[in-house]
Formats: sequence, structure tokens, C-alpha cells
Amino acid sequence: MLGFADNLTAWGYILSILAAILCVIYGLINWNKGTETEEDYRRTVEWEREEIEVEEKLP
Amino acid sequence: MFVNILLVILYLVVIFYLGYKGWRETRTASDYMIAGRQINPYVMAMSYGATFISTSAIVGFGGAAALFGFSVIWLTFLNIFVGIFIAFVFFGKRTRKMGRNLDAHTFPEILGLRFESRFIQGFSGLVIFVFLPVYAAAVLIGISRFIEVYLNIPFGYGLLGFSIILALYVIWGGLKGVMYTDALQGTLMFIMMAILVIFTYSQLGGIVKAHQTLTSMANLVPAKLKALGHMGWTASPKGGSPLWWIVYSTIVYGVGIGVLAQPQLAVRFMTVKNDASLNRAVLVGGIFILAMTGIAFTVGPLTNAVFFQKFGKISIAMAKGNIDKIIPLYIDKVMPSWFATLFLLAMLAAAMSTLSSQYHVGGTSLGRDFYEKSLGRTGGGEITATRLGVGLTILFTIGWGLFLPPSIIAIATAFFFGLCSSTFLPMYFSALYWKRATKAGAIASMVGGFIASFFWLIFIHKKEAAAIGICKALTGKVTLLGFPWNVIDPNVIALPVSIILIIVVSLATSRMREEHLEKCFEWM
Repeated sequence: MLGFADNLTAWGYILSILAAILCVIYGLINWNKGTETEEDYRRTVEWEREEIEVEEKLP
Repeated sequence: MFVNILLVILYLVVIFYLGYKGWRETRTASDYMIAGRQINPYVMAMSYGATFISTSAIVGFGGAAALFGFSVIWLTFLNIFVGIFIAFVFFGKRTRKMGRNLDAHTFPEILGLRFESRFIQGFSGLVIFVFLPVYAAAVLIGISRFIEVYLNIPFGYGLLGFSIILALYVIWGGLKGVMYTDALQGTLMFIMMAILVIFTYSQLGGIVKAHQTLTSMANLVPAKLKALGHMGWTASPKGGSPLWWIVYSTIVYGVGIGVLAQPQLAVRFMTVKNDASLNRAVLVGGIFILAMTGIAFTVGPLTNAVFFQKFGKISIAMAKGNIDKIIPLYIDKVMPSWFATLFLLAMLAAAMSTLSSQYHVGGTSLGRDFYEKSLGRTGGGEITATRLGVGLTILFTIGWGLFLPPSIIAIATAFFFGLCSSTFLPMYFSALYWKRATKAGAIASMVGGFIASFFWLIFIHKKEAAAIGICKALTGKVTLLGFPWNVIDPNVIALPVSIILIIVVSLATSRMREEHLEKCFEWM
């Protein structure tokens, strides 16, 4: 299949491409699902404060 | 040559400038930044991708694919399906929320807080701090082989020179602005890989024709590889042969599953704003990884056909036995010179982004996870410890880079991925999905998985056991068990051990406090 010597290898090749297509479809379908809520925003702001402190300690 | 070196320097200056500028602009007012910082899904996916896939994947695993053949493509399938789809959808979303709920900022920290154990945080931090440099060295070797082949700078000098430049970049603020330059670098990588695969297939007369040409070359497989189970570059190795175990247990399974418990990747999930960003990142990430490892593992085996047509030799003969040199040589000898220069720049960029995030993780593992949280020390010492952690990670990486033998990139990467999965994966998965998992179960799984992994490496797995020599010194035998055990990857044994331990020990100990669990899983 596809010029490969065995089908197992050919399927690895095909499934890699199909997996990438799955990712594209999933991304498109869920593009706007799970957008930011008030709760998300509040928690992110709290979390970011500490994150800045962590980063400031790096060289 | 002079023009090439000049181009490289010019490029580095631009990257430095962008990194520094990005960092200064985002740091001028913290509050503004908190309100305004939005990690765009494209930047998130590219940054994750550029951290995940680096010179080690392209140079090291591309070289391994040139030796072992197309069967390595199964790793691309896992890279996309497990490393992107499962990682983002099933691990990413919960990691982000739990990170917020517990105010966790590193991978060991989320594990430690979830299981209310400073020991877990400290032990994980130390494991990462000690062993991450082996993986970082694989990346450093990858770029240094490129510099060696393309700029004709001896390996050791290239490695040291690049490390010095990188250290300056890290000190100059590049470490902090890393996500922003990653997106630019990822885009460059993507374009270069696309050109590489189109050029290679067209050299060989098209997709199916190229594969057929390689299939017809099966008789050229060196006798030594045939004896190990090599059946040609477009075929799977002989079932149960030593090569079959190397390809499927170490490379495909070890690296493919190990990506889920990579500390430098898990922290990326926490910096995302919302679930939609992760959903969108799945789209970008899937295509990006296909373009990176998919193309590397396709072009890798095909180099045999192209080299044979042009020079009458297969890839491993062209590279004089060092598989880490195959991809750099292919780019240098076969591709047009403008491409080679741009490709080198893309590889430099990829190595810089991966290494700087590895140094970041090495520093916080020692400073925050081990020193500050596990030992409970504060008062300024943790800043010194973090900086010391970054410095030591850089030094150990250089040390491993100079010490490790040729043809090592894929093996060193697989070692770290395998170690992470057997030590962290069952605990990490349970942290996110299994409320019944307990502190004792998590500790047993982490320590048990780690010990099982090392026991197998030192006493059973022939390649490492023979090199380390402890088994021989203690028992007089190179390995305790013979074939097939001595070619089975440590991960195949250690991961199940780790899984069984977390289940059995958790069920035998009492459930964690309900209010703590509520806090961890709140808002999910």
C-alpha cells in the first residue's frame, strides 16, 4: 500500500495524517466553546500575580 | 562560509532584540499585564509545539528513522493523537483549572498540592532537576552536530560556543519572553519543513514512487542490521526481534506516551486563558506536529534513496556511522545552499526555545519546588536557589553534551520521556481524574515507578547496563536477564508497576479530606 513494503507501516503513515485531521476538525467544532467567563478571569488574575513572582526569580 | 556565519550572527541579534523587547514591554506595569496578557491560541500551540519538538526530534529521531525506516512514523501518530489531542483535551483543561484552584505554578507543585505532600513536590523537583539535563543535552547535541556539519566548526567548540550565546540570551531576559519568540520560530520551522518534504518527494518522483524506490532497496540493508531484525526501510522490523523492541518499546511507546508527563509541557497548560484557547490550539498543534515529526520521519528514511542515487551510499554510510549526523548532512549535501542556511537558523531557533524553557524548568524545580516549598525556606534564598538551579542546569547540560557518545540524541530523549512517564504519569492522571487516589498511593507510585525504571536500566536493559557497569561489578553478569528482557524498554515494566502501586496503595489507605478534594476539583 502506498509503495510501502507492509501494511502496518502504511497504516502508521495514514493514521498520522488522519490524527492531524481529527485535531483540525476538533479545533473548528470547538473553536468558541469554553470562552472566558467572569470566574475564569478572576482566577486567572489571581494566578497571574503569583506567576509574575515566580518569573521574577529567574535570572 | 563567512556570509553564513554573518547571517547566523545577524539572526541571533534579531532574536535577542525581540526577546528583550517583548519582555520589557510586558513587564513595565504588572497590573496592566495581568489585565492585558492574552496568550493567543496560535502563540500557545506554537510555543507548546516548539518546546515539544526541537532539534532533538528532527535531527535525532529523523536520523533514527533513516536507520530504522518508516516504522518510526508510528511515533508521529502518537505525537499527534496522544501528545496533542489527548494532552490538550483531557490533560490540558483540567491542569489549567486545577492549577488555578491550587495556585500551582510548576508541574511538581500541582502534584504536591493536589496530594498535600511537600515530599512529592520536592522529590519531583529533584528528579526533574537531576535528569532534565540529559534531555537538554540531546537538544544541545542536535544543534551542535548541525553547526559541525554546516559551519565546519568542531563539535566541542560549537557546543560550547552555542551554550555561551544561549546563557547570555537567558540572562538577558530571553528566558522570560520565551513564549513570544517561539511563535515566530515555530512559523519558520513549519515553512522549512514543508519545503524539505516537497523537495525530497519531488527528487524521487512523487510520494508512492519514492516509497517504492526505497522498498526496492531492502537488499542494501547492512548485514548487522538485518541480523537485528531490519526488514527494509519501508517495512516493520521482524516481530519480536531486538530492533522491533527498540522501535516500538523505546521510541514509539516510550516517547509517545511519555510526552503526557513532561514538566516543561504541562506548565504550558497553566498559562492559557480559557478552554477555548486550548481547543483552538489543538487545531494548530495537530498540523504543526505533523509538519515536524511527520516530515522528519518521512524524509529520514527517504534520505537513503536520495543519497544512494546521488552518492551511491546509504545514509548511515554517508554519516560514517553517526546517526545524529544524517539529517544535517542531507541538508548540507542535497538541499540548495540558501535552504541550508535558513534551515540552520530555524534549528538554532528551535534549540534556543526548547533549551531556554528547559533551563526555566530546571531553575524553578530546584528553587521553588525543592528549596522553597519542600524544605520550606524563604527569605530571599529561593531567588538564589532558582538562579543557581538555572546555572547548574546549563552546566550539567554542557557536561552531558560533551560526555555522551555519538548516535545518542534519540536514546537520551527517550530516556527522559520514559523516566517521566513511569515516575509521574499515573500520579498526574489520578490527580486530575481519580478522587479516590491518596497521598500514600501517589508517593508509592512516584517512588516505585522511579526505582523500577532505574533498576531495569542498571540491571536489565543491556544498552545502559553494559555502559554503566554496576550490574557486572555486583553480579559478574552484564545483565540479570537475557533476551528478550534485556532489549525491552524500562518504561514497559516501570509504568505498569507505577500504575498498580497507585491503585493498590490508594485503595488500601483512607480517602483524602472531602473539603480538599472539593477545592481541587471546584469549577470542573
